[in-house]
Amino acid sequence: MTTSGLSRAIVALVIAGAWSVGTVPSAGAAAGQPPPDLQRIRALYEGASYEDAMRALDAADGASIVSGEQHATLLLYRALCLLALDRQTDAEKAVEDILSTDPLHQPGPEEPPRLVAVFDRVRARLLPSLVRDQYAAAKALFDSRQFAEAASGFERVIQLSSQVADADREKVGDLAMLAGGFLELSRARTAEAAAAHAAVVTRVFTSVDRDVVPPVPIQQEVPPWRPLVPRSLAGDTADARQGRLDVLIGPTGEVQDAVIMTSIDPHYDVALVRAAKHWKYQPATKNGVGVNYRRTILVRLVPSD
Amino acid sequence: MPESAPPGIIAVALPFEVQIYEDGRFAGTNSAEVTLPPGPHRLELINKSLGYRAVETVQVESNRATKIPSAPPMGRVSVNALPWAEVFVDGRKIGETPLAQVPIAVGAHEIVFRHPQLGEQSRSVTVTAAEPARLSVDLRK
Repeated sequence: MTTSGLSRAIVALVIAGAWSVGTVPSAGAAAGQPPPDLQRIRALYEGASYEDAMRALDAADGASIVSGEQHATLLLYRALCLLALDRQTDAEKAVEDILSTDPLHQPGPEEPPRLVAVFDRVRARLLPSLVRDQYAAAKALFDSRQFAEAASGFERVIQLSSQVADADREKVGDLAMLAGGFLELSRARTAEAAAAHAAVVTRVFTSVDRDVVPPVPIQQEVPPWRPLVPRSLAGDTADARQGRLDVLIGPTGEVQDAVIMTSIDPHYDVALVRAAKHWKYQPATKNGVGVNYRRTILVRLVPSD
Repeated sequence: MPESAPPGIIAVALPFEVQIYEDGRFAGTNSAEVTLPPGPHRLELINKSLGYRAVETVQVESNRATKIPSAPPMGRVSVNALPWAEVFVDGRKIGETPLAQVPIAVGAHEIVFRHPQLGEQSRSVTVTAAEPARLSVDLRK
């Protein structure tokens, strides 16, 4: 992050702070201190008031951190102030914290060369363990079948491994080669999953598909039927009527289409289709994913009077 | 040593003016020659605007100059530059920004901030013994 990058981050955070006025604070914000005043910290640092900037940074430690970027910005100012105060070891610790969170973080081209040198030194020292940690994290994601996230992790391992000094190569062993293999596997599995997902979400399932959990009605009311000739007058000639309706239920449980397959009564058919388009379902699911489902509903009407 | 022995001279090696007191009595300033009778003296040197105060015990010898103070008074300066700069004080490089609490002699100095692409800017600063001077420049402007 460059010094100008710091400015941008601060502006963005200030706007975010302004927006939060009048909203219900999150649990974290309510429990901690107010968000740190990054503008003030920046002004103190730029004005060479390093001791005051450090006090403000210490106070910000207890604050509710609103973003990872804000946290990294605070650590960067801490490192810069500690460098100014000639506290090299503490400055390296701050940089270590930045790299532990974001191993690929690179200081911007405008950052003071002294800070860039600290980054180079700390990164060189941490790289072997960062590579091992990143590999373990990526492998855990792979094992839990989070292939897209695992692929990103293995990419980081490869990128970090390329920066390991020759003298430290033994410390990372074959992790870069292993990460390359798992990266290919992760990408392949991600592509397969995407294709399978696309196939599932566009296909229309029916009761024939035994691996699909059918939809469950939440609201499926049929309109009342009032025959033209009341049952009391029609006597035994008053027949019950029945017909067949197909409804297409979408992956969110909304009825996307309703079609009369066998007519019940020309007038009643219209009312039934209109009502059916407002029915609500718990959607059908395949492997936990909502899918399209065509359900056939038999409607039987019995005169009530 | 007889009382009629010729006095000695107090040579104040400071780049700024101080008032000289002995036992609470004003003895002179370093803008003019200060003479004292031979023998031991306990002198207090003061410049209030620079926050400078030093006590010197000297042995004045007849017809000779006695240099005070024994150690140059030091203050501190903290400097910064955007995006960063090499820093020179009176022509001598003291490091690269950010720099805090750099020891520097009390008094007026010229500080130059130099960046390989953005050029240089010069500032005058008066360093006191009381508190660190702070100076920052934006070389991008």
